[in-house]
Amino acid sequence: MKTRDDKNIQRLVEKMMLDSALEAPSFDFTSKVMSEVISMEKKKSISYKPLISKRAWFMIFAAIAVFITWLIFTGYSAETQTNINFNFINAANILKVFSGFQLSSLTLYILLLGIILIFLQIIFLKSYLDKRFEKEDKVF
Amino acid sequence: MDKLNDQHFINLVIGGDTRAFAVLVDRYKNMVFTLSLKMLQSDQEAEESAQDTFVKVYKSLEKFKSESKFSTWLYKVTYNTCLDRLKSKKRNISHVSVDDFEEKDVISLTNVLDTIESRERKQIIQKCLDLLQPEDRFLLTLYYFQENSLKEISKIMGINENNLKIKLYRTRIKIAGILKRKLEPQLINQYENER
Repeated sequence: MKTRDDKNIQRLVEKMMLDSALEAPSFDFTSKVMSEVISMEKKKSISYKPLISKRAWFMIFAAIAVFITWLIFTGYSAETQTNINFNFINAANILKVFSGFQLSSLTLYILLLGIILIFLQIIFLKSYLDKRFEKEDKVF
Repeated sequence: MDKLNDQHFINLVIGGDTRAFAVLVDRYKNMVFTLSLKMLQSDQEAEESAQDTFVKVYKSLEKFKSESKFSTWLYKVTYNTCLDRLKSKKRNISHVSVDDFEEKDVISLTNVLDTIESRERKQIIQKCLDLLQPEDRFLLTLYYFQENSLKEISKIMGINENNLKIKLYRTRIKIAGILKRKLEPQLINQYENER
């Protein structure tokens, strides 16, 4: 009796559920979702990413630390392993090349002014690009 | 076949073809929206919640494990997104007592339901569903609309299969009880006619 009741209730509820139709969202639902997804993607591609990640920095420091500890514990000293000849790097010889090189005071002033302008340009360009970046960030 | 197709589009999206996600949205938007609507009982909220669900799914698509069906995972996200919304709004959920039934009652209810005009019948059924708890409405929708297996529903709702069977049984009794109360006048008429 109980199972027959259950079957009848099952049939009744099935009938009820089949009568309540599957609903549909608004017609532009997919485009709304897609515009959100695409703007999210753009944001992701614009967002600041450091050239060297934190993980990479950690690995670099770890490698340096390991190298320094290795140097300390193996007792490495400058006298024991200097097989490479660094004599070719001689500052005095390099400076000799420029000994005959002379600039007029006017050229010096022009060069100085040029350098100052380059530095100013860097500052202006940086603030300009920063502002543009912020604007784009707001749009997305 | 469907699962294979879903996986094909998932692979395209993971490979960088964002537009391929639109196919998945189109394929499942009605079911996700219906499930959200059954839980939240508001068109606007259901649409927002369905949108949130798809965005969440997109964000974690790379983490999707293809051992389970994409739809199972999607409906699980739908369920959790709706639960979060319900929790944040702290809705008052009405509790309906479980009634006892006799075979005669159920058969009469089925007969009375058949005599009601289609549009009115849909409205009555909707009112009955509205009186259930959100989880119960979600369960019935999953079970009857997509014919999901109990195993899949247990994965979606995070309830073990045996408890799910009991929950499904109690939910059926509850909704039949609500329907009985709603159709009380028509039932009395029917009994009188039978005499």
